[in-house]
Amino acid sequence: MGENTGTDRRPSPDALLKEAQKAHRGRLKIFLGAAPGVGKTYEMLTAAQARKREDVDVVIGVVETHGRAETQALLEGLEIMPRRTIAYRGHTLTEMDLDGVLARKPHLALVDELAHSNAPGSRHPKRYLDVEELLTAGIDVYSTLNIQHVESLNDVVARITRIRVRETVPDSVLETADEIKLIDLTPTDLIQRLNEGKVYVPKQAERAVQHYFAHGNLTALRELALRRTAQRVDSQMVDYMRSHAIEGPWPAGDRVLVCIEGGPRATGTVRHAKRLADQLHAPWTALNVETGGLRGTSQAEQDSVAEALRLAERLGGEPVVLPGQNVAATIIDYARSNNVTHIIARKPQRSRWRQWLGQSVTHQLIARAGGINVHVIEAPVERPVSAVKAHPHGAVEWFPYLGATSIVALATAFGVGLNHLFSITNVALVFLTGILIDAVLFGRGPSLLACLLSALAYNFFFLPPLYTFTIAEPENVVALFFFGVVALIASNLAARMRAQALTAQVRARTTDELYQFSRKLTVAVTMDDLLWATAHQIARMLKVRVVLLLPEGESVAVRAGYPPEDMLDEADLAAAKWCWEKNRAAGRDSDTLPGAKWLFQPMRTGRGPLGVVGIIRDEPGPLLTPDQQRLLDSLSDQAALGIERITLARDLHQARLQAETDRLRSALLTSISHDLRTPLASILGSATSLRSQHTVLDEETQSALLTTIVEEANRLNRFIGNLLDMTRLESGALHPGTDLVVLSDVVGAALQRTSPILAEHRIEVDLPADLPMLSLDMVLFEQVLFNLLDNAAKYAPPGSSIRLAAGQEGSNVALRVTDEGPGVPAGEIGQVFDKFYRVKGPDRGKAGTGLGLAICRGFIEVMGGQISAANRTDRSGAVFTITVPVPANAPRLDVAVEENEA
Amino acid sequence: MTVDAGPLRVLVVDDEPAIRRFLRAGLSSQGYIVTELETGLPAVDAARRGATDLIVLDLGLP
Repeated sequence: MGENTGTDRRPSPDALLKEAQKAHRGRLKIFLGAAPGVGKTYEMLTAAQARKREDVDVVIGVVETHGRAETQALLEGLEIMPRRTIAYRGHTLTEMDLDGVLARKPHLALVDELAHSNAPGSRHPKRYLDVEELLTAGIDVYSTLNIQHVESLNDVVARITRIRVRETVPDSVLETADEIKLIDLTPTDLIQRLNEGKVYVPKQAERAVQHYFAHGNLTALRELALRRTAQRVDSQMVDYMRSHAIEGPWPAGDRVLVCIEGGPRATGTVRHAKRLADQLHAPWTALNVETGGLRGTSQAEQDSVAEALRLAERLGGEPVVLPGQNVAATIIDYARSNNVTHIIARKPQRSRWRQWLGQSVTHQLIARAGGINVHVIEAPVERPVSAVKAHPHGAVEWFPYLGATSIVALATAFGVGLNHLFSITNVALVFLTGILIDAVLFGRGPSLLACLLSALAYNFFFLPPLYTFTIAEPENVVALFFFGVVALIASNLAARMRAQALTAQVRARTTDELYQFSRKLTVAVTMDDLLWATAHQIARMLKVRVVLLLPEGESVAVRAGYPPEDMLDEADLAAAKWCWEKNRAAGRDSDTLPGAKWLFQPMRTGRGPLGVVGIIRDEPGPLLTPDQQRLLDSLSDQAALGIERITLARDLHQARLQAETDRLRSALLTSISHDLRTPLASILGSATSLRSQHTVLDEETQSALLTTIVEEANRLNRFIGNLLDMTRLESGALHPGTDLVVLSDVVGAALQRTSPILAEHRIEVDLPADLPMLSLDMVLFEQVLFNLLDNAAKYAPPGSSIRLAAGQEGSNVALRVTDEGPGVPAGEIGQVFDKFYRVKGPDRGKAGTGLGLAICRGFIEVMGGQISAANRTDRSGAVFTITVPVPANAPRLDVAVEENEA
Repeated sequence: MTVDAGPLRVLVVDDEPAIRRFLRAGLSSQGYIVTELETGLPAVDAARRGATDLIVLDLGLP
C-alpha cells in the first residue's frame, strides 16, 4: 500500500507479512452483488453443496432464504446450526449462535448477509465481526454482501439510489477476503425477476423499490460492483507481484492528505479521500487543525470532526490533529514535511464572516501548495449516524459579560474625568484599552459586548450633543464608525490570541502531566505502587473511574482501581476476560460487547499484552474523544512498560537466587564428596595393603597401617557426626536439655575425648571454684568444646599451649578458649562461623569440613548463649568466647579446683 | 614387572598423611624407593630433574 520498493527486487515485507498471517486463518469468500435479488444466497448455497460433495464439513451458521423455493431446496442435506434467541423490547429476535459454531468447529461455515447488525446483547454489534472471530479460529466462511453496504461507497450509492443504507461493512473486510465472487445479472434480467416476484424486498423499502429497480439505477450499481471487483483483482495482482518481487508498474510513492473541518460534510470528504487513496494505492492521512476556536467551535462541530476522524481510522487512514493558528499554513507545513502529493480540500462555503476577514482555507491552500496537487471536492451532506452528545452544552456564563460591562463603565468614568484635559480622540483610546482588556480577560463574546457598549457610551457621553444618542457633526459619525471598526478588529485579534494561548496552555499541561507520570513510574518499585499511580493518573486526566487487571492463572483479576472500592460485576468481568484473551478492546464504544458499561482495553508492550485497563463514566454517551483516546493509549503504554520492568526485575531476582542456590548446592556436594572419600580411601588402601601384603610387611609398618585405619575411621565418624548435627540444627529438631550442670564437669569430659588430638599441645585450664551452675545441655555443650579444641589443635603449632578459662561477668558466665596459632585473618572474623568457611591458606595436615564452628554457634544459640571470635592482642592466636546467662536461682558450689588433665 | 636396572624410584604426592602412609607401606614392600611430597611444585621440579621414575599424584591437591 504505497511502499515504494520500485528498484528493489526484494519482496515487499508488507506483502510477505500478509501472506504469513493468512496461514492460520480461515478463508473468507464473499459473494458480492450489485443489488438484492441477483442470487447471491443461491450461488453461495450451490458452492457449499459442491464442497459438501467433496466431503468437506459444511455447516450453515445463518442463511436467509426469504421463502424462495429454489433457495430453500438448496438447504437439503446441509447441517443447520440452531440460532440464538434474544428478547429485545418485547420482540424475540434470532441471531447466529457464534459460540455454537465455534464449538462445532466445522471446516466451512455459511454466514449470510455480512452487513447485518446483531441484536443488542450479542457479543459483537455487527455480523462481520462475528465472521472475523470465526476466521481467527481457523474456520472458513462463505458470506454474501451487497455493494451498497461497502463503507467507502456508502455515499456514492446513496446518491444513486436515494436510499442511504445504515448497515455498512468496512473496506478492510473486502480487502482481506480471500475470494470475491461477483454475482452479476444484467439490469433487464433483474427487473424481470422482480416482476416474477423472485426478489425479496424488505417492507421499509417498498416505497423506494420503483426507483431502486429502475434500469439506469441498476446499471450504475452494476458498474460500481464491477469496478470494485476489478480494483480488487488489480490489487491482488500487485500483491502477488510484490510478494514474488516481480518488477511492475509500481505507482510512484503517493501520499494523500485530506483536510477535515467540522460540519455535516466531513464524513463524505473522508470517504472520497479513501477512494482516491485506493486508486493511487497510496497511504492517506486525515488532518484536522485546531485553531483554538476563532469562531468558537460548537459542540456539534467538534463531534462531527471526532466522527470523521474515527471513520478515517476505520477506513485505513491515519487521523492527525494539529494545533495551529493559520489553518492553511499548518496544512501546507505538514504536507511538505510528510511528502504529501495530493491534498483534498472542501469547496469553500459561501460567505461567512470568516471569509470577510481573509481568504478561505481552500484558496490559500491552492495558492501555497506549490507542487502538491489540490483536489477540491464537494462532498454530500451526511446526517450524523450517531446522535453524539458527549458533554452537555454549558449554560452561558454571565460573569464575563458582567465583567466586560463594568470595565466599559470604568473606562467611561475615566474618560469623563480626562475629558477636561484631553480631546475626545484620546477618550476613544481609553475605550479601546478597555475593550482589549476585555478580550484578553474574558474572550470573544464579552469583548464584542464591550465594543457595542463602548460605542454607545462614546456617543452618549462624549459626542455632541452630549447625553443623547444622536450625533451633530458628520466628522464625528466617521470617527465613531472607524472607532467601531478598529474596536472590532482589535478585540477579535486579542480574543483569538487568548483562545490559542488557552489551548497551548492545556496542551502544555497535558504534556507536563504525562512527563510527571512517566517519572512517577520510573520511581515505583512495587507493583502496587505502580498500579495505584497509574489508576490515579488515568482517573484524574480523563475524569473517569478506573480498574486495572493483571493476569492471574489463566485469566485476569482486578488488582487496583480508582476509586479503590470499585468492583466489577460478572458481565463486565467477562468483557475484561475477553479483552485479555483476544488482545483487543472490548466493551462500551468498541466492536465487541458494546452493551457493557465499562470499556476495556489491553495494556501492551512489544512482548504482548500485560494487563487490562477498564474505564467507566456514569454519564451516557461516548466515553472518549479521539484526543482522550490517544491520551489513554499513551498512559496505558507507559504503565505497560512499568509493569514489564517490575515483572522482569522480579524474575531476574528469582533467577539470581536460583543460580546462587544451585551454586551452593553443588559446592556442598563437591566438598562432602571429597571429605567423605578421602578417609575412606585411606582406610581401604591401608586395609587392602594389610590383607594382600601382610607377609611382606614388617611389624612397624603393619602397626602404622592399622593406626591409620583407626584414625581415619574416627575422622570419618566425626565428619558424619558434624553433618548430622548440622542437619538437626537446621531442621529445628534440636531440643536442648536444661539441666543444671557444673562447668568443670563438661570441660573435663571434653578434654578427655580430645586427648588424642591434643597430644602435641599443652593444655591449661582455669575454672574458678565458685562458678554458678549453668542451665546447659551437657551433650551439646561438650560437642561445642570438642569442636573448639579440635579447631585449636588444627591451627596451633605443636608444642604451643591451649588455654581454657572461665569467669563470671555480670549476669553471664564467659568461657574462653585461647590458642597460639596464626589467629583469624583480620577481614574474616565475621565469617568464621559461616557454614563451610575455612581459613584460606595452605592446608596443613587434617583439613576440616568447615562446619565445626557453625555447629558451635548453632548449639550455643539454641541453648540461649552467644559465641564470638577475636584475635589475641598480646600475640598471635585466636580467642573464642562463649557467653551463657546465669539461671535465676542457680546454686553455688564450693568445690576445690580440679587438676589439669594433660 | 621385573626390575633389572636397579630399584625404581616412586614419588608419592598427596596432602593427606594417611594416604601417603599406606601407599608407602604398599610400594616399599614391593621394593620401590618411595619419596613423599605434600605439594605439587616440588614434584614438577623432580620430574624435570629426572629424579624419579614414577609419580603417584593426587589430582585434588589444594
